[in-house]
Amino acid sequence: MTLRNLVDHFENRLFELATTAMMLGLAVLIALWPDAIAASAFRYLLLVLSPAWLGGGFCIAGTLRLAALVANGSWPFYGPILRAIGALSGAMIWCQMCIALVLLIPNVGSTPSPGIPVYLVLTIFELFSMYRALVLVNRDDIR
Amino acid sequence: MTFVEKVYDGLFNFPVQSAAALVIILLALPLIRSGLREKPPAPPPQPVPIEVESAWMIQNLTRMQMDIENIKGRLDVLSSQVKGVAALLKRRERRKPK
Repeated sequence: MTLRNLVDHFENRLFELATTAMMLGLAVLIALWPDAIAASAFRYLLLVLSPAWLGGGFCIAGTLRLAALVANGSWPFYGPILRAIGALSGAMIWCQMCIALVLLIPNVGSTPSPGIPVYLVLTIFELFSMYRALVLVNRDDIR
Repeated sequence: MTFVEKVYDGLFNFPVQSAAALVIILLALPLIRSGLREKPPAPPPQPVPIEVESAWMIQNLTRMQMDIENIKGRLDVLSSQVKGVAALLKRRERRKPK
């Protein structure tokens, strides 16, 4: 499969593919180094979720999203719903990561992390992705 | 501790995280509602080939072709006449005045 074919297949879903890859990458990282989150700036994330839950959640959400994205048009009803659920779970976790970076400011006394706007934008655009995926549920040609 | 108790504890022990999750849910709900109601734009209609094989079209095309043939014949006649006049004028021009 060439790069051109890959881009054609995922069409306007490249943002979702990128966030899916991020989720799967984080799942692999947590599986290999369970203390990675505790040692990073995201350590306040562990107040809410344990590394096992975090890694498992990333793995499940990432795999389901990837399956829905790879199936593309051939899974016309459940594909968009799975994509929407994945995008909503993505928005939730990116938001919690953003909050973890914000909580670092008063507790550590450092300047705000440059990751805060990045994770905030990821959160907002995951919500847009969820909306766009749900619009496809009502497509006429799947009835 | 049951799952419900864990969720209850989590909600009150971590108010910032809970509030953020609530904000996300509140933002997502209208998007879910409008996303499920909205229909995607219809794909552009497929081009329909023009119906050529109709009696009306064949009759008119035949008439058009005959008209073109007639015009062509008349233009040939006109062209030869203009050619004759031009040749005559050239000959007169070349003739020396007496």
